[in-house]
Amino acid sequence: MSMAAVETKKITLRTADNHEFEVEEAIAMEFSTIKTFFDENPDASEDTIPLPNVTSKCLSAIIEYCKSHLAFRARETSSSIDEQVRTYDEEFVKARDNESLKELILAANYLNIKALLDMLNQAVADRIKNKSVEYVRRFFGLENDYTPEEEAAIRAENEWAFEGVDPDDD
Amino acid sequence: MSIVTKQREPLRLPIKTEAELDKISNLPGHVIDQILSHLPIRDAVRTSVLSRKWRYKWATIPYLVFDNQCLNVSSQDQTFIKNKLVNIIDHVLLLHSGPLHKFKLSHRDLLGVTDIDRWILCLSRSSIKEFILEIWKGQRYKPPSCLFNCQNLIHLELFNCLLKPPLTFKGFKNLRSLDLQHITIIQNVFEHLISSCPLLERLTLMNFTGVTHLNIDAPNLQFFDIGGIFDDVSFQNTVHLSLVSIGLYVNIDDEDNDAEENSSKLLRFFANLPHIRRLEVQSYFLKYLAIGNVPSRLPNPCVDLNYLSIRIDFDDLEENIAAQCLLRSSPNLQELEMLARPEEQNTVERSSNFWEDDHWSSLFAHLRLVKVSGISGVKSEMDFIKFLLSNSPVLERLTVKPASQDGEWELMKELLRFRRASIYAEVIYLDP
Repeated sequence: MSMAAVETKKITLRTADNHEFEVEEAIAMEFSTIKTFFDENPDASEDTIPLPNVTSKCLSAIIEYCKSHLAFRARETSSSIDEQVRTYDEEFVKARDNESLKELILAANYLNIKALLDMLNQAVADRIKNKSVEYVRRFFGLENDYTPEEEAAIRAENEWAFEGVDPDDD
Repeated sequence: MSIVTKQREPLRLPIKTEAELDKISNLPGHVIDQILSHLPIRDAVRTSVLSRKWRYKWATIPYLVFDNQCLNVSSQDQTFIKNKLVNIIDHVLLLHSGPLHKFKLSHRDLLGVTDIDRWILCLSRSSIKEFILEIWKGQRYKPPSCLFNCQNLIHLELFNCLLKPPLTFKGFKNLRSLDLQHITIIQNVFEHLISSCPLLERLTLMNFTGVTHLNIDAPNLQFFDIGGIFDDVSFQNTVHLSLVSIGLYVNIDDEDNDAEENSSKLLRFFANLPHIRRLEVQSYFLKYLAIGNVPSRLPNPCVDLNYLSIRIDFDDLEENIAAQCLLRSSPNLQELEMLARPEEQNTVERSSNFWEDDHWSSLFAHLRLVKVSGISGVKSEMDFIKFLLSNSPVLERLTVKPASQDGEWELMKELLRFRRASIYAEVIYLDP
């Protein structure tokens, strides 16, 4: 696709590991944190924006996501576009391990990209659905600080929720 | 890129410190809520046992969904299931804290029991915004008056209910979306409900009892989807209505048609739909539109209409006249779908062609996609397709799907012969 001769404005972002990314303004504006910042500081657009909480790996994935979704939105809505968006989102999430998924959530939350955050939250929920308590603890990196009696009491109190779940699969 | 140095505060975006472990637990509450609210209620409640911090995290989720997944036991004993379900919902609601924005109850074994009354009371105290109640079987459930006090409601969905608001009910001031299916509601209660919800944008009404005249007065309505049995439908004040889907589930007897009924239902229907964009005429609704003196075109064309779907009996003269009026009044139509009604097949084939070329000029100037389904290859159907192909200069795709395999070959052979006005047109034949 040929681009118009107009210069598209670029914003520079610097990640936690000191990589600089130049992104088109339209994409940077998808990050509500940055958009708000520019709304309040209009002359800051020439400066490099430090993102101390985002790694370059995360940022490049996020930029890809926003670019693709912007392109989808530019096309006319139809059920086949919806289908393509769904497939894209599935692929985006499928290959990533739990750790990178969590990193992406933290980054999407920090940059305040609502649609991406919603999608990632759903993906995390899908991964922990129907899994054992131990699996979920490991996923979130949680220590079990209940005594065995306390844990048993809670399980009994919510018996209906624990019915039929395998105790510790995987 | 040069960094401009100025005398001002250094660039600063909010910085959070990371904990080494337990990264997710340090996420703000609303993110955890979101993750938990994407989980079935059982999985969410199970997180109470993860760690002390998580004991009641689930209890602040603003969404609660009780559906077929929430009970993991199967039993033939209805009472047993019902009691278990009631216990679970009571337990969860009691432990829940914080605002509750969305509540859905849809379990196949739950009848319209009075326990639901107290849950609705609980919700009415909790500024509920979305309420979905589906009673799968048994009698119509009558929600208590406190449901009508929920002034924060934005979306209300009821299935198999009887609506009888208290006399003091003044409408839902914030309601944007209303979905009522298999409901009983009397005529004036329905009209009052619609006209007293000033922000209503979406209305779905399927299989209703008690309303015979649909007079829709809704200044913000954009989406209207109804299917059922009614005598009459008209719109007032509906300038924003852009998506309409109507199905009339009962055949109109031609004899019922009052001989003096000259005023056209079609004219009346379109009188207040200036910006309609998508229209679906389903079941027997086209027969309704054919009542009265159908003009050859509407006085004000539907300039925004770009999608039209019509269920039609290709052999019926009145229906064809109504369809033609619609087509002549839609200059900017881009997508058309014609579905043949699987009627008592007329054994006598009409010899006249309803779709002759002479009256049509510069029609279908924007028509790109057409789908014709449920046909069997009779003359009236093929006349239409032939007409369509020779009057659609920008047609990209015509999809034809027959009702059955009978006469497939004949149909395809005929299809192949038709001239096409558009050199880009693809004609796709789908298996029945």
